[in-house]
Amino acid sequence: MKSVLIVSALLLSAAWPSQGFARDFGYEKFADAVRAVYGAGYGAITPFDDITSPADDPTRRGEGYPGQVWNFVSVPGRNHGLIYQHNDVYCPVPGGGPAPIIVGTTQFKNWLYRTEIGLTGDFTVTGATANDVVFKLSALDAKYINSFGVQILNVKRYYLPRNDLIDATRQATTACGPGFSYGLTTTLVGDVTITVAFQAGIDSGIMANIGQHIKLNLNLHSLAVRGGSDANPLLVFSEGPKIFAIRAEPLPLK
Amino acid sequence: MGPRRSLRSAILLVAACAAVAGCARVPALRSVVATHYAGYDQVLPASEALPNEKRYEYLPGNIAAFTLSAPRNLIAAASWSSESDYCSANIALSQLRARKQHPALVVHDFDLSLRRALHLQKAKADLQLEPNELEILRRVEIRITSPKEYVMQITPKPDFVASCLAAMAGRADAKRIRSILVGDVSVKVLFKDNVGPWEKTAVLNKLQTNLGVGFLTGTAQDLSASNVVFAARLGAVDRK
Repeated sequence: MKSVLIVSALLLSAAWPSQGFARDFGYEKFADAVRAVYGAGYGAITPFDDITSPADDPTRRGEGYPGQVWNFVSVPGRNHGLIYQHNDVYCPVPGGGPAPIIVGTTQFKNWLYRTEIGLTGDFTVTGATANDVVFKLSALDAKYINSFGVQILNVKRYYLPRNDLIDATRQATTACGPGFSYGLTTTLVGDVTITVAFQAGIDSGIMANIGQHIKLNLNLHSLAVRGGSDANPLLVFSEGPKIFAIRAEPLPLK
Repeated sequence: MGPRRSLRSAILLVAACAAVAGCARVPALRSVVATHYAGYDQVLPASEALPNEKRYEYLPGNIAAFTLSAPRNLIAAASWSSESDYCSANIALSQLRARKQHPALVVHDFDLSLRRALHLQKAKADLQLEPNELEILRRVEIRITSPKEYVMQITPKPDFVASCLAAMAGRADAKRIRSILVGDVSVKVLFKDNVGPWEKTAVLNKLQTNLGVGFLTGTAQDLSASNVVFAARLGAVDRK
């Protein structure tokens, strides 16, 4: 497993540059909002990730537990935020490591994204290029969208004291090798609802197609529910719990 | 307009200014903390209080790294962001004596706006052309109920993990949490009628930054958090 993870890490690092050219205005603003709500150092994670409940994963092999070592590419948000891009390359703490402290924290409600897209589908942000996207949707898709709302309820924060974090990341690095660049220090998990409001009169096929893109791009599993009205057609995705933001530090933790 | 009426308008104008907290200031939890809980600062992220967790991040006595997000000023408490690097004193909140504090209710009623006081009507078209953040707000209400203070005590004594203290030693951003405030916080925002969603979104985004809390769009916003640590008093690490 160790060698597979290392090879995956190397392949991933080679693959990142080609994905790094496009700016994602949706994620950039989301990352800024995450920082504003939860404080400096918290960054949005893309794509959102599933987390198993601690009861179903007593040895904490699944993704998202503090003390794990990960590979991320971090990119800045629009203002002061941070985005962690990942491809599920991580290594858990041998034996599970210490159980995280889990506390409820501020919920995150309905952020609307629209100002990035002009009525004709062009991006209105200074310096935008044809490669740029909003929540990974191209301008071609985005021109049909009136707004994009993210609501995250039942938000929990997973974290550990410093000594536990240092011990855990050291154990994980020893067990998994040097192919990892970050130690995961805090995870924010919540029930995510994404509401996409389309322009009136949108063709149902186009709407379904865009819904499929959103589902794939954001790593959602549930079926979209159609709602709203003819004048305000909506697609609603709802599922949880999802990891939507984290704090991470370059290894080794000191 | 006679002199008496002018004087009345001027008084109304001053009153309106006071009501909207200096005419231009957006209400913030930091100003509520500064006004009602002297010496306390806001800490982010907001966190539910855990009574029996000895490793809890915001325990009085803990040594923790914080980044100053916004400095204290005349009208607002500072805002500190926890870096989630900390050493626990290993004393659960339930082992400490809680002191009741007074609740707080701050209402900013924007119906008493400068323009209304001067009997000027601003057309909806004007708003769309030049959206004014304060003018689309009808009312912002910040309420803190059942606040309790937990402070460092002489006993029980802190039980730090030595390796943790060694890792934190010498860090310029390390602070000792001297006391915390735990309570129920709610924020409500009401918009005036006939305000477009994009103006609302812009204002909510700005308010969210100031409050450090999430928002719901629509005609009203409600945020409530129960049993949450909403402020802390931080001090130097070496000061016991």
